[in-house]
Amino acid sequence: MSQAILERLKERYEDGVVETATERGDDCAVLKREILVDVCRFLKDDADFAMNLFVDVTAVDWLDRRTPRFDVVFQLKSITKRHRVTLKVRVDDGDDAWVPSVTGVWRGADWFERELWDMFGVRVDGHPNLRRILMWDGFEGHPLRKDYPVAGRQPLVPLRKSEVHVFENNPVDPFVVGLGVVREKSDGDA
Amino acid sequence: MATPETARDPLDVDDLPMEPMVLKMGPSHPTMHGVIELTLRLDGETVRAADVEIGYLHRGFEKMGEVSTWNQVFAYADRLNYNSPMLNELGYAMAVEKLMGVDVPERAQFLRVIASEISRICDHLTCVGAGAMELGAFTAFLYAVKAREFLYELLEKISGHRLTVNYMRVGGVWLDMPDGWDGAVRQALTDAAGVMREFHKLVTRHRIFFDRMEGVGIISQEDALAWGFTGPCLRSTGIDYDIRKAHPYSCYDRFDFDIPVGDKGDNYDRYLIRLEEIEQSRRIIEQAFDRMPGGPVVSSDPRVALPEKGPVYNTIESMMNHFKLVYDGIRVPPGAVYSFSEAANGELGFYIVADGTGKPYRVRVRGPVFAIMQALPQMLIGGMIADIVPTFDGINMIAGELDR
Amino acid sequence: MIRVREKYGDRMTALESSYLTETLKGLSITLRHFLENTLTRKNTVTLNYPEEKKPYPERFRGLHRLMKRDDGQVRCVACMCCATVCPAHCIKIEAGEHDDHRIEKFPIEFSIDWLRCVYCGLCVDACPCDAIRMDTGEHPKPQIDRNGFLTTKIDLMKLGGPSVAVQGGVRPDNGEG
Ligand code: SF4
Ligand code: SF4
Repeated sequence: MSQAILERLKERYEDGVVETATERGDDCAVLKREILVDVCRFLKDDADFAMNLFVDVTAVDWLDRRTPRFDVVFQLKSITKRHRVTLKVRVDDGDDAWVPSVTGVWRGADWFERELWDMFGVRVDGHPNLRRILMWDGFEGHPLRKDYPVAGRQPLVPLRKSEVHVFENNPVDPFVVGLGVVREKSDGDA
Repeated sequence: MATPETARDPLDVDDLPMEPMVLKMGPSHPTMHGVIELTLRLDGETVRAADVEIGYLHRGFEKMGEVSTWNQVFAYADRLNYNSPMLNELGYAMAVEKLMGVDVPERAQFLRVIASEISRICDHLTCVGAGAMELGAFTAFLYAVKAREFLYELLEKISGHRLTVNYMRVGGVWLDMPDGWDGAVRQALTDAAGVMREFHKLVTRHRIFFDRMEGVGIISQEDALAWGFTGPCLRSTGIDYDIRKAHPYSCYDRFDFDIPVGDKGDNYDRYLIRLEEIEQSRRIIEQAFDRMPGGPVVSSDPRVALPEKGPVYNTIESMMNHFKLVYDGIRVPPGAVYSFSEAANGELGFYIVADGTGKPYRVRVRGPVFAIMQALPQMLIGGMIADIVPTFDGINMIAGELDR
Repeated sequence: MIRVREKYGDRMTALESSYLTETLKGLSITLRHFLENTLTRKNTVTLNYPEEKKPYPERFRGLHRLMKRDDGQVRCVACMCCATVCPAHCIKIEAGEHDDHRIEKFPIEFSIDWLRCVYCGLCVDACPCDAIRMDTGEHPKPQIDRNGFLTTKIDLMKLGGPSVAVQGGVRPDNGEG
């Protein structure tokens, strides 16, 4: 069945499909970035394929081994038809490291795409809220890139000062002020 | 106690009569199962907007995987969903076996299924037990933990540890089951079922519990699919999708079991589904013991299996093979596969890429909870603060597989 | 496919929603357990730890021990298999040359950081001469500082006994020259 998906994609998108492969039962189509969203929408809406479940998106960093540098790998699945397919988009480093967002097709791609950006630094164009997700704001670099050192350390986020001054600026509520005094004391002790 | 209305209209926070209150729940909060931070905007007690901040338990599983040998990853995989380590190991082992084309002996398949199903029961027990506790039923929680304890002892007997089992290997399992283990399993399952009957009597039809679960945290079928739900959360909306049935792996196609589904997609459905899955897992385990074949428990493929100790001590060939496997690790031919299995919370996927050396080039985990958690705001908005607790529990968030 | 709502009931019946019957039912269960557990201790599952202890099962992977040869020397030949396979990198071995040419190598120092160890048991599997085992049935005891968990060869050998595994012993002339 999934073979048929590859055939159909080749037929429909001709040049857009760079290559197709079947490896150990996984059917995979390598696409050009421009048609990605279109293909996704087609696979989802077409009654024969009905890829209604977005499973995963991730990337593989080939650093010096291959160009373009990243394979962005999508896993899609149909719950009704019980088949699945893998889509790949190859993107390069630097300015070229971006893929269009498929959140418009499956809302569930949201966090996965944020993770893609966070971990690999592959920008997701058109994503509604592209923030880091597992790392904190202010983290430098993208940890799953092969050139990020395994034992890489980054300065920790400095400890926040106790929130006493917030209370001081707002001395309206005696209860809150009281709280502030208490906290100040315990901070001094420590 | 009132059941809140769960209208899902997109709420405009700005039209509130007064300034909304911002409340932070977490990252470490008694009702939070794991470390996760919820930022809520409240209108009175009604949640109007929510944001989820994750990553507090990020341990770099995927990066660690790239510098470990294929077998060492098992030790990390245990800690993904720490309630059901066997299921993670099964998922990972299947991925590597798929890439290498290793056949797993029958008996090992059966042992894997039994161990996994025990783990699944443990996971569900934790979920329903903790859920009851967070709604005030502490006794019920202790009962669930008691039942779980019986099962943990089984895992300890077969694998040596309760949580960090490290039982499976590429191509099979570590050791055959100890003598008398099957009897112990049957006994423990009966005991646990007895305890669960009491648990069931204590909470399932209790008014307080019912009112707080029923109609709370509703998600529709379309939304659940769009967000990428799998597992009990997807089944609660009425879709009978279970990977064990839809894409049978290991030897699940030989067992007779049913998939429980809900109707409304609310917390009560999710709770009942977990109760019922415990029953079904029990059925699978009993059938597996009835049909357990004999034979070896680890593949004889010299590429993956450490040779027997006897020959290693005495013959040079086995000794060399042993050293090769220990020093270089298992050599997996170059390639990439995606392999998936039904973990306690849904589809646990492993996308692994090998470059022909003894270490994975890339190990990607698709934790089931990751997809489900992104819908949490949607499930909370419109409800009350107090509803956060049961909804959060119904999802059964496990920070280990969420943050990896 | 099982519809859970059909099996377990959908709505509350009038009796159930009265709150009283279910509560009494629950109370009767807890009361029964309470009486059972106070009058007899037959069905209690809890233990009075640490006075009562539950033995660990046979396969429990506890503290490591280093096995000895018949003459009491360490059995380990410092082949580094365990240190290589360890996912936590917690085994440190310093190898030295042995006077006996049949043994060749032995560990001058062998230390395991029990605080870093994840008790996975891979080192035991990897050892080609049954020199390291984890069957002491003990878990690491609390220590006052981290260094307390850094065990030395002496400690590990104290836990060990002579290994009975036959090794290199099939031919009577084995190892002679
Ligand atoms: S049990 Fe595992 S972590 Fe501990 S020393 Fe052995 S190999 Fe290392
Ligand atoms: S594997 Fe065994 S013989 Fe080799 S260094 Fe470790 S304990 Fe010694």
